[in-house]
Amino acid sequence: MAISFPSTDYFEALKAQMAANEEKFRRLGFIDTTFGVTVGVNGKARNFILEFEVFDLKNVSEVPAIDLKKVDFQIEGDSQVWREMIENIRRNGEADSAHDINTLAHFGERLKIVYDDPDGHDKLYRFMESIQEFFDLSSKLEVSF
Amino acid sequence: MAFYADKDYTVDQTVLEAAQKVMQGHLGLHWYEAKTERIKGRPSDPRRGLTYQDLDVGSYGYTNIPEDVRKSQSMVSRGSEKVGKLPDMGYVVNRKSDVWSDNVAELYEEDKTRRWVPATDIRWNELHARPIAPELEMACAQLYTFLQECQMVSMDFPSKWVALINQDFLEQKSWMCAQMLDASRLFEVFRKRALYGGAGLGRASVTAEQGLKEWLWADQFPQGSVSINLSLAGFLLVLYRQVAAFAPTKVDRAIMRYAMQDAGRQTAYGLGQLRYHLKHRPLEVSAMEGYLDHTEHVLLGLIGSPELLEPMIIICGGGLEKANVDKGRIATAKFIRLVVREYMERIAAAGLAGHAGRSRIPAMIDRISAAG
Repeated sequence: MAISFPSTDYFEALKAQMAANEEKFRRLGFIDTTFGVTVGVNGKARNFILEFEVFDLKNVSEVPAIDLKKVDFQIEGDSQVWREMIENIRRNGEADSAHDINTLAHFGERLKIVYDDPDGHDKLYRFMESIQEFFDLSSKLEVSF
Repeated sequence: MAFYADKDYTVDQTVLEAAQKVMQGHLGLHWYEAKTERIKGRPSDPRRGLTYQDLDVGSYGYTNIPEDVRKSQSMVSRGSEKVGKLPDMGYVVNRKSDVWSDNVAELYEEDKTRRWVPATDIRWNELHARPIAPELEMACAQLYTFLQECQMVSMDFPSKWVALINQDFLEQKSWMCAQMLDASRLFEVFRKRALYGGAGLGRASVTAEQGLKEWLWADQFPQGSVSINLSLAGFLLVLYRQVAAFAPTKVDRAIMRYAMQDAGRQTAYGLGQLRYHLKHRPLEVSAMEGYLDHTEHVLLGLIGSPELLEPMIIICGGGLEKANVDKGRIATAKFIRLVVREYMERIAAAGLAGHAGRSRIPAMIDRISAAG
């Protein structure tokens, strides 16, 4: 059954996939960061907070708004961009060069990284391999938009 | 010899007789009475294992290291009992606020778990399975030549200082050793990538090397750390992200994604160290401002180096045709502005909020990137 994006179900499904692929994430190392994901849908935003700890996604929640002081960074973008990324991952098994988080967010033109403290921003890059592999697990999901 | 032990132990009868006595089974067990704390180190999270954070307890911990370390000048491990004539190691960095950052134990533990291996984690054979145009390969060879120069300095900086820092800062010194390994690994991967591609190495950059030497030879650790761990690492972090976004091959993208992880830890320390330094030594604010005023021109030596800019333009544009170069110039101009924006953000977040307003760099950058 297809999982709707954006939703907590989608991130919970990725969390389950992350646990099922524990060895891969152990190999990538500790991931200790809490970040926000904001998806713009018809002029409104849906906001999710993902709390990663040690090797796992510990908790996912949907919130009305994200307080940047309580997260390391926030990845925000229109639902069309997120959809393009997820569909690209589904097609290729992983994001290609044009559709990984780094490329989409690099100049802030498609996805945007916002943060209160540059130290939090740096965590996106400290844990980039794990974060990208996490989103690449979308290849194992049936996702509807 | 710069130092002689207080005795030649081959002619010291006391040492010989004591060792013989022990080997005959007469154990003295004086070390049983060491006046040290008895604790049991336990992991707070079994998945993470036993970390330095778990051992931040009592006399063994780092939280209670005083600002001025006066009583530890030997190589004794923090928390041990000190007896007898221990040697003075001549440490020249003995103030916590000169080296410490609150994230140092975390970065050290993280560094080890996130290690990677250029020889086996990079799928090198993809480079000849899908060769790229000769002009792109030449650009890659030049870029990776430049990056090796930067990594050599990233390796030299902690190497130059680690033996001069008081042993009580053992987590920080361990982190510096991890930094050396990170830099040597990046040096290795950049060299291997350049030499795998067939174009050989490119040309050294005079402006970059002159500037990097100025940063490397900063007189004081906090100043050098700002230059290497914050300014250079921040510049490289944006550069790695840029090359990953425009990577001509999957191999280059993989290399840059690993590199950004290593650079991200370095900037986290650079920011954390400057923040800690200024928080505990507010009178140093103007000295640090003065240091930056004098030395941040090096950022221009790096950014303005033709040995960097030209290969970047070719890589970001995808070739040497006019349309490619035009596209590459636009992307490279954005890269330059991003480097400076993030540099100023980190400096401000660390406690030098007004620095961007007095710095000469933004105006110079506007002149360079306007041409893009």
